[in-house]
Amino acid sequence: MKLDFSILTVVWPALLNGTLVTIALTLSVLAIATPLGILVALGRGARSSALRSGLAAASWVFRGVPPLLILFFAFFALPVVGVKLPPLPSAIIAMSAYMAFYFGEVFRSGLLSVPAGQWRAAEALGLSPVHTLLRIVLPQTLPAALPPYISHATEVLKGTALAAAVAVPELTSAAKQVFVVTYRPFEILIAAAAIYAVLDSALLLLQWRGERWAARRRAVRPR
Amino acid sequence: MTTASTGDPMVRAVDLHKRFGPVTALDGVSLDVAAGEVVAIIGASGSGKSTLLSCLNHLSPPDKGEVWVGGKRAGGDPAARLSRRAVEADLRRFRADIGMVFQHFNLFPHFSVLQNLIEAPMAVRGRSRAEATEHARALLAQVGLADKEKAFPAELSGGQQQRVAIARALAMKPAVMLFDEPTSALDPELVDEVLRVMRDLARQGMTMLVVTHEMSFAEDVADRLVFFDRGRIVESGPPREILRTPQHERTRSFLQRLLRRGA
Ligand SMILES: Nc1ncnc2c1ncn2[C@@H]1O[C@H](COP(=O)(O)OP(=O)(O)OP(=O)(O)O)[C@@H](O)[C@H]1O
Ligand SMILES: [Mg+2]
Repeated sequence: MKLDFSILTVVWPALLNGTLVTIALTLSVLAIATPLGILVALGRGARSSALRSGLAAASWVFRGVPPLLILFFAFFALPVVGVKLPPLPSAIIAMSAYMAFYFGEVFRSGLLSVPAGQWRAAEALGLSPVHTLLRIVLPQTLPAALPPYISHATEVLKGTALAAAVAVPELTSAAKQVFVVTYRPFEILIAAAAIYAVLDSALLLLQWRGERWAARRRAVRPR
Repeated sequence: MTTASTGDPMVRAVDLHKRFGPVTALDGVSLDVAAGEVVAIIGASGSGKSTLLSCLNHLSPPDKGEVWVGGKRAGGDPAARLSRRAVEADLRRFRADIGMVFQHFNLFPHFSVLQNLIEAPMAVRGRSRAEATEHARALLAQVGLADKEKAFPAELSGGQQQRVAIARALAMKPAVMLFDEPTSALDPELVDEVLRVMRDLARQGMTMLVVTHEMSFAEDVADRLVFFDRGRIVESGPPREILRTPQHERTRSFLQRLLRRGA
């Protein structure tokens, strides 16, 4: 068998569409699940024990069941109770829901890595709790939280392929549709893999930038 | 801030009590500090010195008792029946008028030296960046670090970090400065540069409360020495008198222990 990538000159529009859907899905999930993850992390350290145990239970459920099941739930079960959504929004909601709890774990250990003296110093200056969180504490979680955050973000990117099961025309399903008509699975799957690799590298680049940012700004004394 | 009428103390603490579970950290502490006065606080480990400072700026509010700074009461007027939110907001304004310097500096490591100094004045005092930067540069010159505004805390020595921390507190134009063992985390050769900055500050008339084990600093700079024991002030007066002729048995044994340690 000889590989002949000239087929790509014909099928590229379909792969491009799939790529755009994959990017849109990934970015939407990250944009929603990241702030939710921060809220989950804060809630898990809250004073109210009801909130803490409620979130711990939800985290256990959402991280314990297969992601595909959650996607099915949003797409097939919610309409039964009157919440009917098109495939893409439904997949965004489902994936954001479970990713919020994965990110919750990431930010929780990130927040714990920031010494209590940082909160005290900010409070002593009269800074508000919200200002302290956004400007003082969260940026300092970066060294601890960035590597696991990026590896979860990579999981989000790869996980978008699951959305094919609820009729989202993302990259993997686009590739499949193209090769079943062209009978060129090798070339097309390799092309799709290459696109995923490029998107992955963008996330790794983000991690590299973040690590460079944190290098001079390292904590002075861990306490 | 509204300054107290002459004669009123700059800081007034009335009958402060604070417990941590079974531990009584403050057991009825009252203290008046006049404007421009420097009070050194000494006492054994666990006697409640740090607790007093964090009750004064309400980082951890006392269980009982009142604090007044510059004629303003921490938490506002109780007759006004403020909501919890309003009390929190009042406490933030109250704290903004009190500079605090910690043993471990607690600079913000992700900010440059300059940003450490301008963050709170801009966010809390509503100063413009230009105005805050100008004041910050003057303060950095005052603590001898004019050339370090672009550095990050991790790139500075302990003594330099503590001087930045002092400048950060001063950037809020506080009415009073609290120091909690500002030199005890420093290598011995870095202690003097920090004490020198504090000396200058005292000379300029800043009201200061300094928890310290530096007896020569207490003797030379403080107007008054306060000896703490088990959550109470057991002795208070001119530093020289207390250091030479301590009246209280516990003060005597504390000073002897300190001498033996060679501090
Ligand atoms: N957040 C806290 N939780 C529980 N106990 C505390 C807390 N802060 C202080 N204490 C206790 O209160 C007492 C007074 O502590 P404090 O830190 O004020 O003493 P100190 O005089 O500053 O001592 P040191 O010289 O060691 O700094 C100690 O017994 C201490 O263990
Ligand atoms: Mg202490």
